[in-house]
Amino acid sequence: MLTQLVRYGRMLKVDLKTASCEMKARWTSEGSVFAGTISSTCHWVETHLEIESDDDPATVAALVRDAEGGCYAQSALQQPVPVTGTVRFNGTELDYTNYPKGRTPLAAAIQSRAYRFEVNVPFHLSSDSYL
Amino acid sequence: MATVEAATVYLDGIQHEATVQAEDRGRTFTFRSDEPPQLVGKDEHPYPLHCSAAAIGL
Repeated sequence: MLTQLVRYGRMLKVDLKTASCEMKARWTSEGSVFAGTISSTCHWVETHLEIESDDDPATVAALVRDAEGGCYAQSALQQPVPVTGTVRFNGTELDYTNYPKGRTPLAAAIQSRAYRFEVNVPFHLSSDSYL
Repeated sequence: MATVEAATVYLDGIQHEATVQAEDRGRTFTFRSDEPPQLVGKDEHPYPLHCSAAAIGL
């Protein structure tokens, strides 16, 4: 954010005396490692900019909008993109998507049962990140 | 357009080291991550989530 704020500020001749940014994000992870159901979620991200400038509010507001639009990290969260992954295992390509989720004997047993039942090994992580 | 590359490697405990390099420069930078003790870390470096939050602010 600050990189684009400063970069675009120079383009727009905005006199930034000071600029700082605080971020807060909420992430959670839940599911079972054993059953292969782990899933993580980013619930929200908050940013707070502190800007000191002699320029008028409309100019600074326009700059902030540009900075938000140009922030690559923020855009990646706001506009999800495909993520692809490859694995080399002991020197050989491993197509991990061809294997079932969860590889413990318990998970394998669960997957092989004719009837389904839920085995929950709860794992819940939540953290707030402040800078 | 910007394409960036980063490589991460496991070190010890739950610490990892990332090496980043811009596509148009040969210079690389490294930094490490860790986790808090409750997540089996040593709390010696920023957590990966810190890096993601910092990426937005930077």
